[in-house]
Amino acid sequence: MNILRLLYLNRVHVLFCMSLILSFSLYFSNTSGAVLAVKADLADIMSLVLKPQDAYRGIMQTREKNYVLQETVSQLRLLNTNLIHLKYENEKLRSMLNYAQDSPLSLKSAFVVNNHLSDPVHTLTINSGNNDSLEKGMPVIDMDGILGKIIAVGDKASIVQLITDRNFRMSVRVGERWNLGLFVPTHGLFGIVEGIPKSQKVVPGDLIITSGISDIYPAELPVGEVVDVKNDPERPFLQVIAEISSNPTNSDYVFIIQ
Amino acid sequence: MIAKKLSYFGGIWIVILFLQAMFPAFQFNSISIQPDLLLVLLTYVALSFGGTVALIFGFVNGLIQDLTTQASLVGVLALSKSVAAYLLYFLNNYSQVWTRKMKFLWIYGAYFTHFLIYGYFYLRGKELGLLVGFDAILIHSIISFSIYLLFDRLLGKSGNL
Repeated sequence: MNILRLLYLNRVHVLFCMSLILSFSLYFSNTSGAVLAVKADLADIMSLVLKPQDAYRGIMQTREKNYVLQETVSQLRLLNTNLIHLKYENEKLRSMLNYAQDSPLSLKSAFVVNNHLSDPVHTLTINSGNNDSLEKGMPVIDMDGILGKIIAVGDKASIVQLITDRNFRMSVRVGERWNLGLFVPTHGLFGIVEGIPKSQKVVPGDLIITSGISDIYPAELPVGEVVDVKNDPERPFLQVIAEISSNPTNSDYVFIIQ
Repeated sequence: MIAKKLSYFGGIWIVILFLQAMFPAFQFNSISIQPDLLLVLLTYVALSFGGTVALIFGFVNGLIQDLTTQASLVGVLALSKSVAAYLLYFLNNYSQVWTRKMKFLWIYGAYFTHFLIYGYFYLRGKELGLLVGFDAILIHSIISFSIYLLFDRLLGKSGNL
């Protein structure tokens, strides 16, 4: 059926629609109070009709916002973790700076780039070498005590043998009269001090320090603390069990004594 | 025949337009109430010439009334008269089905709808109570319907309804 014919057959309805459109156009082109009031009524009706759509849109927007917020929270959490780490690092560096300034020794700081604690030889790799005037045999410490010594030097990096390495030995003093002994690491952060006569008084909590008779380590640097003393009748010396005061497993920065 | 009928209605239209302009209005709760003679004429037009003519006649007359009575709300009477004409057009469709009473009821319904639309769109901005507005619509429609009944009694023998 032709559309014109369809329009002609429904001419009354078409005319009615046209007159409605024209009338409404004329009416709403006015700006009197009545028109504004009617417009307000229509706005109310429209808002009521569109309420489910608004609610649905609101839910969708909330969901989208939720996704964005979740992403933001994740990013902020990551940033916060970074900031916490930076704060920790900053505090550590500040304390290291104070330590380096207060210490009578000539200290050179270095950053630990790698550690090999599970290898047969416990070592650390630091980011200083020949270019920073480091040499083989230089003692390495952290703020708590002796950490080890340099065993290999490259131009830009060096390898440090840790105090926890089984082959590490160090002359120390311990006890009431600061008797000489030999520190031998045993397991983890523990070791024993050999060569302390049974006549000497050594109690748990006593400090263990470097002896100063070595060519490598300066005197009176903290090594560890006595945790137990055993007096075995079958042995000629006291068995002094010590805990290392430095922290080789969690070192970020170290000092090399030059 | 049609030309004669048209000229007859044309003459009546001019007279009614003149009467509508001259007819005295009275105030009801600050609402001006005046019988709508053009609406009565629109009823006859719808019954005599069908929906198309009635719609055009209603719209044009509504627009004339809008422009002569309230320029700030042009379109209100054009809208209400168009709706009334559309409703009155159904009288022709059901002339063989509806009873005379039903037709009167429908005409009154069309009048009431006309004044309801006019009342809502015209009085909406005014601070009037709902009841006052409703009363005015009722009075308006009853007066106009009474005039239609009067004309129907005088001319009804012509067999429109």
